Amino acid sequence: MVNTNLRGVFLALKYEIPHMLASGGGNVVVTSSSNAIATTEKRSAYAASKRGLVGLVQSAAQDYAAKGFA
Amino acid sequence: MNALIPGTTDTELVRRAAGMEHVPDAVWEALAKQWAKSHVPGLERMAKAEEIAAFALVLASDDHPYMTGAQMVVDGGKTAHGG
Repeated sequence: MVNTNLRGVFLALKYEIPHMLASGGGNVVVTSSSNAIATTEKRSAYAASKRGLVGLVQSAAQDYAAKGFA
Repeated sequence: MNALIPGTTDTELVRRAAGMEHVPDAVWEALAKQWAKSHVPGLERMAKAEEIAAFALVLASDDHPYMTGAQMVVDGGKTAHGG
């Protein structure tokens, strides 16, 4: 769950951002989930992976905001 | 770079995750409506994929350069609901 939902997006960003930087930047949309905000029982891995995406976006957005990314 | 935060959306994936892929459509629709009544009060239905995609397009566009590091919640009020 975490490998696909969180690590998968991390790796996608890691490898796509250099290409986007080379062409002047661009826009990235990461699909999280309402389970990142409020969730239910038996969803710990899913909720953690989707909330992790929010942190990933918050930090990476600051890393690349001045480099052509919105 | 932004995060899109969709609520529960009526897709094949959600139907499969609920173990409902082999039931008749009418049964799935009835159960989905029942679920939504308690989890998405007000609208009482899941999102259509197109209703989420519309906001993915907004975030992907070049029209909002000051929006970055943000979370766009499109969940029909699901997370506004406290109980």
